[in-house]
Amino acid sequence: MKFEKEKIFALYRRLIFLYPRGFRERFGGPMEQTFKDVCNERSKQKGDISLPFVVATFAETSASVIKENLHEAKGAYQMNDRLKNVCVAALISLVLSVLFTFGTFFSDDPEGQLGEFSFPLSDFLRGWLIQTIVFTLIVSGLRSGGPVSAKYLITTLAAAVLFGLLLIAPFAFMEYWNNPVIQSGEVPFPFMLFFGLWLTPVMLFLVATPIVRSIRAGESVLAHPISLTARVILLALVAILWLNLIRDQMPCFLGGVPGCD
Amino acid sequence: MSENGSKRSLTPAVFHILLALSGGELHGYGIMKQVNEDSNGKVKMGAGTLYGSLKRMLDAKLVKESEKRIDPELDDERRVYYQITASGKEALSDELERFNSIVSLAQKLRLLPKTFQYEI
Repeated sequence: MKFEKEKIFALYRRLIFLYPRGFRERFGGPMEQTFKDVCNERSKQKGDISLPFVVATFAETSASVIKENLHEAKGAYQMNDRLKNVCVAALISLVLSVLFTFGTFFSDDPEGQLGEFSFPLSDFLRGWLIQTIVFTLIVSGLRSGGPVSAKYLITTLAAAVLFGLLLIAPFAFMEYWNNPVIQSGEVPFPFMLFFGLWLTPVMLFLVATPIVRSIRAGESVLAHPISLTARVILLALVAILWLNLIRDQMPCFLGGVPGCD
Repeated sequence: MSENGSKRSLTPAVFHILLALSGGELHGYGIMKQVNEDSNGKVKMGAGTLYGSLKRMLDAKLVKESEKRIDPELDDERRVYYQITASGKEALSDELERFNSIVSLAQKLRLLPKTFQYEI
């Protein structure tokens, strides 16, 4: 049975793709080249590339793929790193959840007229969990592909902040412009609402950053399929949530709705 | 071979790669051919074993990448050349010494096939 060389090379390239990222980036090119050399010599000597040769080569490389992935998974450094990402994300989320919970209450009831403050524990825990998942994706994305320079971190965060501000600016302007009660100071400007509306696109930007970074680095968009799927699902869900919130609040932004919340 | 390069027996793949590189810098395919030649065709190393071993050897500083250059005959810039380091030479020397002492013992005990041949 004869095989077309180009097809086998393409198949071998796909097999190399299954190596852990670090290994693939370092040895993928030379491995592919070595495989081509072996195949070329083989076809020069024997006239074609036989099935037993292809099976033996692919079996050997597959065993190596499994070995390297196990080696990578066992790496204590990797595990510590992942744990660190989750801890950092949980901490950031905790601070934000506390600020948001108390901020919302005091923004709704600046005079303390609504009675005693009862802590919304279940909402708080739910919010904290969701934010932890989002921030884990953000932190791991920012730290992926080696150490991140302070300049890169600041530029990315600044771009995310600006992106969020640009998105909410028209709505904030509409809210202020169309509501005379806010202009006169009778009703306070809903800062917490806009903080939430601003934070969502900032998170979206940061979750999407690693995907853009990978593509710009010339990597395939499918290089990390699990991470990509998680990010795309999250991006879609949060984008839908944000758009629904905007649609829900639109009558308030346009004014003419008394006691809008 | 341990991660920190301490004196432990080398795996057959690592031993053969070091032996191949002791003759000079080689790229991946060159190493495979040299190993095959050194072992009289008895050891056929696949690319997976070769690069997996090279990764660990690079981590243990037994080998290092030499300056990337293009083979004038094969003309591909992805061909990375590897060279043995001082630690690699030391590890190879230790391993050969260990083999030597085993062979000496085997000779003393007349366990080598040739020893029997001489007896006949």
